[in-house]
Order: sequence, then C-alpha cells, then structure tokens
Amino acid sequence: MPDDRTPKPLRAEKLSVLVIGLVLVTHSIFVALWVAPEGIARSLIGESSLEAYIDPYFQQSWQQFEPAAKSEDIRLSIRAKVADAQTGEPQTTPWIDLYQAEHSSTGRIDRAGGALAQELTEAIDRFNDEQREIVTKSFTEDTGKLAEQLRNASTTDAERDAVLRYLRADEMASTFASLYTRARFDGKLLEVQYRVGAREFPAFDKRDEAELNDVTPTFLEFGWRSDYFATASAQAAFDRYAAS
Amino acid sequence: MTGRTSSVVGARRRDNHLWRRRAEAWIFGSKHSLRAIAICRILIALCVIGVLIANFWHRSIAFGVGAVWAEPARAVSRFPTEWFSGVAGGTLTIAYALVAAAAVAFGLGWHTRLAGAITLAGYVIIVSQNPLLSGNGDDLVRLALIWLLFLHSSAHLSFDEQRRATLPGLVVGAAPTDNDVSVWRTIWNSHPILSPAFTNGIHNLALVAVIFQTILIYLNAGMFKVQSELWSSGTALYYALEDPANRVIPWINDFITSSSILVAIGTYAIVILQVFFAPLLLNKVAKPVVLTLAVAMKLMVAVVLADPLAGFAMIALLALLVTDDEFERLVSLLDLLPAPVEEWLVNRYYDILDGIDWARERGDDLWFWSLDQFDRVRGR
Repeated sequence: MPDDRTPKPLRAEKLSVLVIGLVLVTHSIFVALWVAPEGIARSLIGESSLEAYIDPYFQQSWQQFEPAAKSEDIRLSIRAKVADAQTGEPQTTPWIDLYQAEHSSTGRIDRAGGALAQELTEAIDRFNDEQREIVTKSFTEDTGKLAEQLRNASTTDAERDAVLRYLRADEMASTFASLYTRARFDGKLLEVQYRVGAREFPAFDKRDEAELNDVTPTFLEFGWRSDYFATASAQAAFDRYAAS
Repeated sequence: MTGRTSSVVGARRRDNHLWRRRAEAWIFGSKHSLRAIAICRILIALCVIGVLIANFWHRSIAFGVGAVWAEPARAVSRFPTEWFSGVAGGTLTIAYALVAAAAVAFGLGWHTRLAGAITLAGYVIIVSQNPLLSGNGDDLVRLALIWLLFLHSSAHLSFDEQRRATLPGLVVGAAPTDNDVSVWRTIWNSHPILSPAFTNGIHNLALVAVIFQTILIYLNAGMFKVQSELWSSGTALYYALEDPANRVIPWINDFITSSSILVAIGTYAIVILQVFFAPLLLNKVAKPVVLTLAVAMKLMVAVVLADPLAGFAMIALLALLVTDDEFERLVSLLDLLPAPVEEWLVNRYYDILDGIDWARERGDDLWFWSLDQFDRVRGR
C-alpha cells in the first residue's frame, strides 16, 4: 500500500515530472532504435534524425560487446626508407610489428596498431579488385593521385564510401609510421610503408594440432607513402614512446 | 445501468485509482536504490581514475599533441574535439590532473554533482581526442556518468551525506526563520533546494531509464551473438580466448579452451544470459543468480580478457539493479560468514568511515572557514 508519509506532490510538480518522463521515454525509444538492426521502425524516424540525436553523447554499439569473438588476428607492421647519415643512400629498415613493439605499457596506445589494421581491413574489404590493386602501388610525390585513382575506380556507393574510410586510415597509418620510425631509426626519413598481416586462429576442432604461433600470416602490403612531418613536441612524444 | 454493471465499473475505477496511487507513491514517495547507486558512483569514479592512471605515461601520444596521427578520425567525430586538439603537454597534464581530482571527489562523494559534471566533461574531452582507441568501456562510463547526474548518488558512502547531517541548510517549504542560511550555503552544504517530491520523481525516472539502458545493452549484444555462427555453434569462447590481445593470464585461457565442454557451456551460458537477461530479472529466484553470473562474466572480461574498463563499468551498471531491500539482505549474508572474517570486514568498513571523518574535519575546516567569512561580510 502507498506510504502515508509520502510527500504530496503539487500539480505543477506532477506535470513537470510527467513531461520529463515523456522525454525519457522518447530518449529510450531513440536509443533502442539506434542499436536495433535496420528495419521499418528505424526508417520511420530516419537514419539522419536518429544519428543527429544519438551521436556523439549517446553513441553506443553493442555488437562487439565483450566477450567478443573474432576468427583472425590482424596486425600492422611498418617500415621506412631512411637516408644513410654518412652516404645519403636510401636504406630500407626492417619491418616492425607494432603489436610486439607496443606491449611494454599498460595504456590504450598499445591498441593503436591493431586499431589501425582493423580500420584498413574494414575499408579495403569493400574495395573492388582494381581498387585493391591501386592501394598496393606507391604514392610518394602526390598523395592526391591515390585518392583520384581510387575514386575513379569506384563503381558503387559502398566503394565510394570505402575510399573515404581508406584515405583516413591511410593518413593515420602513414603518420603513425613516420613518427614511429623517425623515433626508432637514425638518418633522414624519406618514405614509409605499412602492411596488414592476418592469421586465422586454428579451427576449434584442430586446436590440439596447431597453435596460433605456427600459423603463417598472410600479408597485404600497401605501397610506399610520403613521410609526415610533425611538430617537435609531437615527435618528442613518439621518441619517448619508442624508447619505452 | 444495472446494479451489477455499476459495481464492476466501480471496482475497476477503484483498481485504477489504487494503481495510480501506488505508481505515484513509487515515483514521488522516496528515492530508490540509493545504496546501489552509491556503489555505482564509486565504481565509475574508479574506472575514470584507472583510465587516467593507465594512460598517464603515454598520455601525449594517446590524447595530446602526439595524437596528431589520429587527426583524420577526430575530424569525423562529432565530439567537440577542435579546441582541445593537439594541446601542449603542460595543458594536457593540468587537464588530466583536474579530471583525476574531480573523479576522486566524485568517488568520495564530495560535492558529488559538481564533481560528477566535471568528471563527465573532462573524461569526454580527453578520451574523444582519440576515437580510434575508444571502445565499449568508454561508452559505458560516459552513459553512466550522464545518468548519475540525475540520480541522487551521494546518499551513502559520501562526504555529502556527512555534511548534510552536521551542517545546516534551508528546509524546502518551511517558513523563513532568523537562523536560515543562504541558498548558496544550502547548496554547498549538500542540502536539496527543490521539493522532495519533485527530486524523488526525477531520481526514480532516471533510475528506470538507466536500468532500461542496461537491459538494452544485454539484449542487443545477445541478439547479435545469436546471429553469429561462432556463437550458435558453441565455440565462440574459444576464439575470444585465443586472441593474443586477450591472453593476459595464458594458463587460464588454455585451461578453458582445452575442454570442449567448458567452451560449449561457457559460450551458451553467455548467449542465454545476454538474451534472457531482462525476463530473468523479473523472477525473484532467478534475479540473484543472473546478476551473480553477469558480474562473474564481467570479472572474466576484466581479468582474463584484459578489458578492465568495460568489465568494471558494466559491473557498476549492474549494481543499479539491486534494490535497497535486496542490498540489506545481501549485507545480512555477512552474518553467515565465519566470525573472524565478518569482524575483519566490519572493521575495514569502520576504517573507511573514520578516514572519511578525518578528511572531512580537516577539509571542511578550511572550506567552511572561508564560507563563514563570506556570510559574515554579507551581514548574515
């Protein structure tokens, strides 16, 4: 039974709480539609209206809510061409597997290599064969040509969207590679290159026969890209990170 | 209208009236789940502090001037990242320290709402500097901090609770007296300035909304898992544990994956728990079981799968599902523990309270001296 000591709300208070309640119900419906698979209910409100409300403060996606399972291990490796300090001759550095290089700290920066590899993989997964061929070529003089060739090779909207995503991921990977390799190697940095290595986990029913370390990764090697110059303080931050 | 019809209509009206009174009593009568919300507040504050500490050493490359490599991701983010983008090391360190201090104050319940608002704003500003490195844990912390602003989270285990008990404040609705303190002093002393019925209503509706959000997370995650072949085949847990990034304590991973039965039970238990989370909560017997399993699963995520942020942030939200009565019953389970264990736990609890008293006396002496001066100058 209701408690007799309940404070009696005024009519205005009841109305105010009712309005706030309606706002909360509307909010909850919007959130539920946002996380739901695409469908009629979601299209009634409209994708752009829904996104305008949810993104960024109520942004959420629980498709990969932990524990999440994936079937392969993907990693980013980087290398650079550096001018020899004595002779000025370009020398190619060995590949650096960022996963192995990064695991010295507790911070989320250790996830950078994996996150960049994921971004690159998701973008090129939507590419057609011609676009996949283009990204393996080197673009060191004019990076605008990379964008132009990828756009010209697009035949669908999905491929055009993937171009934007790839160009963002390419810029991030090239910048990270420039700052990191400059911190690791002596000499003038000339160009950088990155590759994504993927290893499928041994199938569940074959887990006693093979280990992940026995699996040879398949590499997708992207072309050479021009190096990126950062401010001295940004480079100093990478110098500290590479040295740790 | 016949006599029988009118009596049925009358009974329905009485029922509706009773339900309405009950609903109003629940909404306006008192604030619910106050103990659970206090625990949620403390856990979320610890999550924020944990993120700041874990990333302190490489903060510049993750969030500051060194995070220049993440600029393309920032450019498409809708968070207000522009004015904090690429800040110098000193500015980032000051911001870091401010957010950490606010998070500590929030966890201790010291001017909780203000500290919570600063923690929320600061956390969003810092973390959004690198969208590429954000994950589910950040979403959970952000959403929890937003909702905690609308919940009365300082009713227990807080400095504010102690301050309210010892320092004066205006009583809402009472006639003015000569001993009244100012509105600002009332707010500073952590007393409410709005009517209890209204604040109860806001608190309880926000509680319902955040519980809905929590249930939605489980339902959504469960539905996506059901559609996945790895999960429906009962082997997904093996693949999750096989990921090198998730192998912090490898022997635990190897122990689980060595047994097909353990993998299958674990995989299906996770799917069933996530899909049927909401309906199971409605059953009084199933609720403690499902909450215990959900917390255990999140502990596994935090420890075995090396994602403490997502694990503990979710445990904080799960805590909100424990009502005050259930919390009392949980505490009474302490009586079942062996006497030395119970005594040790009770002594530690009193140690915490003593610590809060000690800090409050020293902190408040300083703060309230200045407020007394302020009131005196204003002639109050």
